[in-house]
Amino acid sequence: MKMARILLIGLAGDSGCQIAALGLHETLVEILAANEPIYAPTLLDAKDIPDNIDVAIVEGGIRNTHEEEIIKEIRRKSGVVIALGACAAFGGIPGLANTKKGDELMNLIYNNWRGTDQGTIPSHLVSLPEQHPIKDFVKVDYFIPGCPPEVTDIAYTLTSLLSGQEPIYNSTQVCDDCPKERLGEYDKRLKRLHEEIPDPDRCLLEQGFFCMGPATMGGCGAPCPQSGNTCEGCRGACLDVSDQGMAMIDAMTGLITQLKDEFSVGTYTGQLYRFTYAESIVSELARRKKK
Amino acid sequence: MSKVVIDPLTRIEGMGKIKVEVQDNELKDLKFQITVAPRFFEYLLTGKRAEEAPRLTQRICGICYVSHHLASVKAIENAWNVTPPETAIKLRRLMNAGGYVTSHSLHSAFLAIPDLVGLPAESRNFIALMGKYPEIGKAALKITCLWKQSS
Repeated sequence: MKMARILLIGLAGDSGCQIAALGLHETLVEILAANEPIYAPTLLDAKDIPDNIDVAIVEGGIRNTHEEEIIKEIRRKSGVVIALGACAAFGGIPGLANTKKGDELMNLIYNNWRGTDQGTIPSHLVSLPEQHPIKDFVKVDYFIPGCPPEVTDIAYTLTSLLSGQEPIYNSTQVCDDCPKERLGEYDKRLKRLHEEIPDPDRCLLEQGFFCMGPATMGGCGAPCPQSGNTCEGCRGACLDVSDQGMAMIDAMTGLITQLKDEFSVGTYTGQLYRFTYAESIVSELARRKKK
Repeated sequence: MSKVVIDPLTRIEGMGKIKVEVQDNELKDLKFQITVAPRFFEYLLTGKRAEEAPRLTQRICGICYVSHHLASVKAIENAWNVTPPETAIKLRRLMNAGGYVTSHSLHSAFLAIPDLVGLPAESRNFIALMGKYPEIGKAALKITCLWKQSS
């Protein structure tokens, strides 16, 4: 096996995906030691992005011009680019701020927000109007979804690629991994998590809790629903589905049609599009409306 | 005038750069710049339901997510005038302690120890540490992942 030159970088994200990779324990070290890690600011002291990168693993989305330049440079120099985690793949949680433009947000937060040194806007960062997944700027070869991604997905993708095999991803939904019982009967109202303790053996959505399982790509083993929490959709839409929120509304029709209260997408944006607002159809419509 | 720029700073939690300007042996300018993009959590939380905050704010930092999670839980309890039961408080303390263990062992193993064990300047990193002192590296990795396994 040829030694692969590996780059690992974090852009507009929170380093959580790189921490998740540590969950691989010694497998990670074995992968790195058997190959040639050449640029990874969290691990190595290399200052310049080198040429001839075989595999570039990118965490985080693109929020400012600096990151836009970096991702373009990485693409030019790399054979394979992997988007690691929700921010790189779909924009992630920071995408929820896309309802206001970057320069307005800088002014709002640094001039008018309690807790910041009011009046000092950082001048070394030029914010783009929106948070972007990296695919908005460069071609991405592989996506490893999740916030953070599953260790098994990271290991599978890396070991497949490094041994010259094409990784294959499944097209299941989180519900396929969830052992809770579904009866096809829905509650009459949508409940907030603190309002009621759910029946641990029954589907959370059927009980009226906003569980994103049906609209979210499976493969994680459904740890959130199994711990009594709703799925928050961190793995994005299922394969071949373009809009996670729309897919969720579609999956919820049985519930929505018999709700006593009115259902409005606006109230639930943070749930329907928690990780995918930046790539959603609704954000595209909002963009067109502004023009 | 001589100018030193270190960009990016490596083996730190977060991202940043340092610029130093010296003239006639005197420090003219020194800038430490954080290059992590502001992601505007302050704004994106506005208008969301309160109970969404603990899971949103966790994503401010992938290393000290426990602190952000618990801080927002406390803020909501404060706003709703709720006193959590003793068991919940104990569980949170345990969770916070786990956060300390992960964060500190991570910082030690990956960021600091490579500087302290006499590795050559060009290979002060965790991979070289694992090569020369595998017992230190393995122990650190084990401690770091201890909490992740139990959570």
